[in-house]
Amino acid sequence: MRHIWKSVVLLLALLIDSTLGSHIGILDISPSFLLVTVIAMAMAGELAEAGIYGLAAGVLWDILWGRTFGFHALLYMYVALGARAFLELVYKNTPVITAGITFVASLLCELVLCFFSFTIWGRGNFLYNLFRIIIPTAAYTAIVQMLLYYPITRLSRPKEERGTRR
Amino acid sequence: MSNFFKSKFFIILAIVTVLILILMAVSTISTDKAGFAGDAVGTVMSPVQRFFRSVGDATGNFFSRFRSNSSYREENQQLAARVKELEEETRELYALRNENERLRGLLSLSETYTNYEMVGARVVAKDPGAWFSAFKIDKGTVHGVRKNDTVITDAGLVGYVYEVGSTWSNVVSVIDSRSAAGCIIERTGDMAVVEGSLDLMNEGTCHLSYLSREAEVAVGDFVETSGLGGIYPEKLLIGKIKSLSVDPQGLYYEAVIEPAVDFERITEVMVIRRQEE
Repeated sequence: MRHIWKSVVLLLALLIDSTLGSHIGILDISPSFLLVTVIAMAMAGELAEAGIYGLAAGVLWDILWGRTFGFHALLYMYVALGARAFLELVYKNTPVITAGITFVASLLCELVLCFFSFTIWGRGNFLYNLFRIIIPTAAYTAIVQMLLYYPITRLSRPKEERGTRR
Repeated sequence: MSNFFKSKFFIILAIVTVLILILMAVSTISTDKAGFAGDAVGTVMSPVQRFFRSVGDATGNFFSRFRSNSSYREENQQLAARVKELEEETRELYALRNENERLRGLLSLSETYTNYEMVGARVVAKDPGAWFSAFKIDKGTVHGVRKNDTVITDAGLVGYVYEVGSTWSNVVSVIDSRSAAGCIIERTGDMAVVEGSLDLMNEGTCHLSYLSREAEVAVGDFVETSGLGGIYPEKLLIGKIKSLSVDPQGLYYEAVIEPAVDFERITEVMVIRRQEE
């Protein structure tokens, strides 16, 4: 049942990104609710589970929007695994740490996207992309992560773990 | 460390990675229609996205009323509509005059498109992220939409269909960095290329390049599709020149184009379906 709810939340996050996201954008920068959800779920589950949900999120994204199927699947899977692996190193799951991990994850995702979509083809100005899109998106996504930390992680944890802090 | 590389987890991860890389390679093969899985998911998601977008638009409109004085806003809307009307009249007058001068005969825009059928569609979702300007509409192959069909509004050119499912299609807009179109300056007849650009896309504008230095163009000139390139029919309004400069090599003019279509507020479009010859 928990996994079904998690899947629904992933789908909801993608729906929000593609429909309502532009309405909460600031200077054309919108947060990635899908990445927020993936990171939060990665934090609350085991390593393999994190990879599975990251993969599922990326596959959903690719099915709906991607021109190269599998690109976001691979990206989100490794981001989720990396986030979970880092958490296992620090042993502390707090909103600030989660937001920090989200910031780095978003930065990496946007850098990879920018590199493979524009930089290697010699298109666009990398510094403009970095300061106008990549860093603001990462910051906005991290802020949203902090705001949604408790609801999503509470939903992500098994019933017996709710109420206890990791 | 060596135990990790021999572990079941690593082996599964490696297999999944290789499979995904193979899928990525296969997916680069272009097809006329979305794959079965993509079509199925898109067909299910499309009405849900339409609902979410309607909620978002309604909420946005509700709050926007508190942000501005309603009477000024109404007056502004009326003036904007009148300006759009006057610009259209001016554009039509230039088109008529130039056609006479070039001895091509008098053709109105509706006569040019008597060979094309149009399908109305609604925008249901937008490409997440700030890298691309693409969106999903709620019409697909069932409605006669095909890949590379042109998408327009009453204001002008929107873009073209790059992926089509049964009941949905993904459209890349003319300001997207993946987009390029042959164009013509309506007043002078000079040819150029309109391309999307990432830095201009976020401002809602696009780039015009390869315009001859001998062209006598000016800010405010209208830009239309030339019909060359095989995707867009001719004489579709793209926008007008917002600023003009010389390229770094000094060989051509380049310009920033303000599209006729407001991509931030686009809700309904028309898909031009070309009839089989």
